[in-house]
Amino acid sequence: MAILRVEDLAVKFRTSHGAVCAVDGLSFEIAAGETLAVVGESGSGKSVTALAIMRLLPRQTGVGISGQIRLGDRNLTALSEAEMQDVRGNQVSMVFQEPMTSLNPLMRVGEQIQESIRHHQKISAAASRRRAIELLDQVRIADPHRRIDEFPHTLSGGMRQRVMIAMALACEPKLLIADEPTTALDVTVQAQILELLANLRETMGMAMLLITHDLSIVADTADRTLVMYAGCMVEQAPTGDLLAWPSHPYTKGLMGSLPKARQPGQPRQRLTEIPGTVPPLHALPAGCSFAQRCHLAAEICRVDRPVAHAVARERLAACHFAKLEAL
Amino acid sequence: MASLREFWRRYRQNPGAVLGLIIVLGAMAMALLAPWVFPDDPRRIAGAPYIAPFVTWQFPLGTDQLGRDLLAQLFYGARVSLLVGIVAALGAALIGCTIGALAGFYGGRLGALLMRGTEMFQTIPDIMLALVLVTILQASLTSVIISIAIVSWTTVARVTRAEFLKLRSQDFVLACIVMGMPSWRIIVSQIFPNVLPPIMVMTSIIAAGAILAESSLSFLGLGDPNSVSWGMMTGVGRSVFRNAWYVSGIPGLAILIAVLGINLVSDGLNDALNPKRRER
Repeated sequence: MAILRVEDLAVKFRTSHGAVCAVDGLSFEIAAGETLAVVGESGSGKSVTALAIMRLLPRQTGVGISGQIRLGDRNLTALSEAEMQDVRGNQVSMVFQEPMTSLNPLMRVGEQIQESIRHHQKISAAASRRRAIELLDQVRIADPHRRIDEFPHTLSGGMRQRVMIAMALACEPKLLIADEPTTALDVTVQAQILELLANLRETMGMAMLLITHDLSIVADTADRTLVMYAGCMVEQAPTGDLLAWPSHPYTKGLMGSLPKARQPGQPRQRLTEIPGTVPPLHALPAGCSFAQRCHLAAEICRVDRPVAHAVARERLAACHFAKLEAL
Repeated sequence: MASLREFWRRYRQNPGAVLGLIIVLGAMAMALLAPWVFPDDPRRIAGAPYIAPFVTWQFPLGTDQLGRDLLAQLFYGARVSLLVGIVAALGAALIGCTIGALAGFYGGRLGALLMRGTEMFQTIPDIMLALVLVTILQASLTSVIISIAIVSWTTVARVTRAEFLKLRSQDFVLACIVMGMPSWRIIVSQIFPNVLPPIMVMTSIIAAGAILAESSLSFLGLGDPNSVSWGMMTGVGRSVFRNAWYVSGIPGLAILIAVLGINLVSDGLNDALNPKRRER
């Protein structure tokens, strides 16, 4: 049963270069308890997708959103702002990239967590304080009774991110969106936070949408992975399969550019890179947007935009040359 | 409590600010104690006219051309001057914060509209507008306070808007939106406390300005005719300035010292509240 179902999502911004499609024809599902990683480089539309789900994109000028975002049986794109406020924090929460600025510097961390609890649940101050301590304990902050009354500036980056996670989990949401939750942290802290997120997801049975540009994170945490390029999905597959047998040339290129540990005695290998750069979103080519950088590109790629199709069980790819393997 | 003690420790380091605080507290004591120290009406003729200061113990600061006690009037004048200063400054801060917060938080058309409105008020000379307003509203303490508040909120609005613009895009505000918090609560409970320090400094400066504005209005005879104020005293003494300078000189000095004191306090507040200066 899918918790979140995104169908044909498109986000257009009107700019001085004309309409720009930041996200185009994106469809995916996340089942309860599942982690879907969305991978892509800067500007590929991953964060815009997250903001569209939370309905945080500016509503007024020059932003066009089409398609459906269904959470359970509700279509989020059709909700009023007041209804959306009830969804945010209660059913869908979000953790951001930058833990240093995500907490109000003037409020004790406990107050901030309690605020998110009491905003959605009618419980007493004492009960919400108990719950906040419980949450701090759950995100493994040592000595939660003392930490709850501290101000954010006394906490380290990793601890602040834990507090942010505690706030996001306060109302036990069905879906947690983590937008590059570990990018600003040290590598060792990164691993701890990811493990924490994985454990919490398991114990609470919530679904997670993990946005990242780091393929090494994906391998450990995500059940399925969706690769985005220039606003479109290029490939979607169970993470293990994707990393083992990437079927889209862009995914293959990404994998090829990852440094690998060298066995003693093996010759040095040069890292391969993907030639060229991402085309600007306001001047995307008519056919496949990856065609200019693709070593497989043929005439059809420059004329005809490939549609995502099944290439294997549970695997989708948007490439004319991605072969149908054993379905 | 700990942060309050910390605040006082920083405030104390500035001797000027401490002097300012003593002046302001002294003026407040004068205002509060006036009815006990001088139980009689200060506008009552108490003795001979034109008694110079420091001549007789009965009238330490002398009497004016009608024989009214200058010290008593000074005490009662402190009530009006401080009342006008504080209430008008708070009123200005309230108007300014509301408009600045709305303009900064929502931006867009509403923000543009509110800021054009603010600029309109800024282009009109303050004292002119205050004069016109007091004339329309009839001279009374309330109308003086209202007019001064109406002409002095613009700087607060601009500062508040700038701070809101800066804080609005901070991640912790986004985190509150993500938490499902409605905008008004984010404005009041999350952003506003962060904007408070500059507003407090600004409000104290406005209080000093409001005392000056009240003095100007009273000097011109547009103050509340039923109450004594320092500005009115300078106005009354104006005609006899060449033979009895002290009739307008003493209240003038009081205005000067009070305004100086408030300015010193706002300087001290600025130093003590501004986190960037903490490391000095």
